[in-house]
Amino acid sequence: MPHCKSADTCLSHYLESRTDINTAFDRFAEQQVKCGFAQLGVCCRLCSNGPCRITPDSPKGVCGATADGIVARNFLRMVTAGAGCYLHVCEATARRLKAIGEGISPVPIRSKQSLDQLAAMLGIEANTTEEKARLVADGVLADLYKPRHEKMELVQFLVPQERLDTWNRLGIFPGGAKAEVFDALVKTSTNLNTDPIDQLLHCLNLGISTGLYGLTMTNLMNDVIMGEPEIRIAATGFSVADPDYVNIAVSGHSHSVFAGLIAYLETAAGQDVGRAAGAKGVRIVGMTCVGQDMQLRAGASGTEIFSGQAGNNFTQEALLATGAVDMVISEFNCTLSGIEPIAEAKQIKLVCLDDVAKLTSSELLADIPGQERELAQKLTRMAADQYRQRRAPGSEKIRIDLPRHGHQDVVTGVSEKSLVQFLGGSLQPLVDLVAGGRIKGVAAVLGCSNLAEGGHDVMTVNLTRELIQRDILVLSAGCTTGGLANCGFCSPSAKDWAGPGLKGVCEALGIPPVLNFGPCLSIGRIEMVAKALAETMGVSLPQLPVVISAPQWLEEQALADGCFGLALGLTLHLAQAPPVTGSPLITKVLTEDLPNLTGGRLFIEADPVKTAELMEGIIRDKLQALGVAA
Amino acid sequence: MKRKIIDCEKCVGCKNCELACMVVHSPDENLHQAYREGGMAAVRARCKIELTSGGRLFPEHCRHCREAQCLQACMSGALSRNEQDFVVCDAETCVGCFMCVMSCPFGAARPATAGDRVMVKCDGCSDRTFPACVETCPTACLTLGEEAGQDDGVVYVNPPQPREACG
Repeated sequence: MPHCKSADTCLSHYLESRTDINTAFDRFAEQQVKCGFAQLGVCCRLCSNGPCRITPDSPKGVCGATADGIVARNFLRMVTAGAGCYLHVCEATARRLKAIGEGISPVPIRSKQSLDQLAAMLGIEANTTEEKARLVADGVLADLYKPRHEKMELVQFLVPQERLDTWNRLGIFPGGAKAEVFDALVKTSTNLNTDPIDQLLHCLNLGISTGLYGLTMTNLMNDVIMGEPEIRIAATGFSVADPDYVNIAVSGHSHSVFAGLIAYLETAAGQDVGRAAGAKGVRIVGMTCVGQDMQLRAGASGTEIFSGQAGNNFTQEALLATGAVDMVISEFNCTLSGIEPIAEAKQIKLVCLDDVAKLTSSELLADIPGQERELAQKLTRMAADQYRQRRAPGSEKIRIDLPRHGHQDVVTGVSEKSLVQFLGGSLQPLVDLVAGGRIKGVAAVLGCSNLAEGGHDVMTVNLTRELIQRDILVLSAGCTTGGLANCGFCSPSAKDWAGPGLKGVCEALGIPPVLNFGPCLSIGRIEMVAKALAETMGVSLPQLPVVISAPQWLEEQALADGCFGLALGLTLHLAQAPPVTGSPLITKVLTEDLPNLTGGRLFIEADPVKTAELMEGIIRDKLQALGVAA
Repeated sequence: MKRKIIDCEKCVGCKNCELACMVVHSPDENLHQAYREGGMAAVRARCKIELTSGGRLFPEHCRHCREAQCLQACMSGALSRNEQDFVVCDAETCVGCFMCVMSCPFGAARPATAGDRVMVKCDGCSDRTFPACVETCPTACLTLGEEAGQDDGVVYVNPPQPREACG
């Protein structure tokens, strides 16, 4: 069976050498025959008269639904699920902050400064840090739990007034975020809403709550609990795992769920548990986005005990196959069920802290605010026991086969705040670089990785290479940046792959041509950078000379993120069309009419060179429209 | 020569063979484009999954019969047997008399649903290395292989019983 490739050649070779394991890279080939109806979005499974599929011989469903209606309904369901995922993470983070504020959780607040800034932005005043934390969390939870007819209140400061006006004009400014998710499901059920445009507008509405709450408020609250990102040098790749330590790999999206564990492992008592098992101590190895978040904030929390980010979503099976990991803790997606047989073969303990991330063979240990310390102690003991068992004399099964993989000099910790600080207090130097023609513009390459676009990270890497060669600075967040870091693009030496203008800037500032913002949640940070850039330049978001691309989007959350970008009025590229092309109407609205609605635009292009040309052209046109010479 | 083998027991009715057939016979042979701007309605799949009176799924494909009734009935000379042994229609020559449609015992010769008044039928994907329907079949109901015993260009395995034949 042909093996799917990765842009990360070291990973590719490793996977090919490990014929003993079955991974997504093998299964991808087995799943090559795709259902065209699903790709087009024209299959409806909502009732017992179905499934109905739209063909020339059967142009309407039994109920009379057209291709437009079926596609819109299916798409809204996907966006709804994606929005629900990010809102779940936001809710969990707010509940933790509230428990800390109420003195229930023993977890420390790592950045009082972040809390003060956040409270000030929300207009919250309080006498003590604890009270401030509680009031911020209460405000967020109250907004999330509002009914649909009561609009969100807190987050209006996150977007320019012009956006709020646009959203109010279109009627897409959301009410209570969870209620919007709830009613989107109602709307898409059997024989309810059949208006494709109304459903598409609901997608944008969900995109707004995904972006402002799911992404940005989660980041801001996690900055309070876990500390702010600081620009620093860190390691990535499988080599971050040191088999002399008890290694706990983490997977998910909710950084502060690990607040108790990180705090405990920072103590001598926590490390002694590992030493008692015969190891040098206990380390956390980053896997999927929550590892990226730890990497981003490791200057402020877990500095000594976080080994680094091993890789993005589709590297996890290979990472576990190395045998270097003793336990996996998952609190959210993207934990693949494919790790289960590998974990069984390698005697790796699987634990989940939230039933939304329960794997068949993982043990559920519920994370309850207030019991963080006990949970951390239990998890550490379990990991140490696993380490001891796996290395017990006679345990022949556990062979550690850890390749030299990754980079030691990845620049991390870039955020909307640390970037401004790095540039000397404002984004004006970045604007000057573009206006002065030293770089041609800024593009964001973000979101997931998949195996579909020529292989794992292949489109991401090829597009990024094309962009930086054209002197376009790339900002990255999500699995894209995990892949780019492992391929060397987030290391200073990557300047040599950039065009002469960008290379000069990289050399002058000591930065790589790709700025690593960490997890997919940091798409919210990149959008805050976009807002700040727009303010600095005195333009609206749709006028801003930036383009975003999610070249290898994978899942429903990515679609909700994409809807946020389109609601913000940004131009968004995807390599693969979402399952909407069976509807001429939805396809037309997304790719042609949207500029007149939100100012955003979607374009689909699978070829990296053509995509880079199009992105360069869009940036150039926007600069020219602003009268900036390019 | 390899022939299309159709194992009726493996059909799950997903209709991906019909979709693939439409795509390869659409102007730019692209799934997403085929559905754009009403383009879908202009292309007719050359195969169709039927339901027998006994409730079984039956993938109805042109057999490219050894004694092809459509070929014998064609008065314009549009239908012919090509060098790959497939019975194919030259749309330029077809006059749309539909005698072939009347003659085919299997319903595999059909009028085009849009555009010129011509017949459409399976061309065996003569210009492709692999028939599109076979390529996209997820259950291996449609495969290519050597099967002895029949002369037709398509071999049916596990067909429905005669009393179940399509009504």
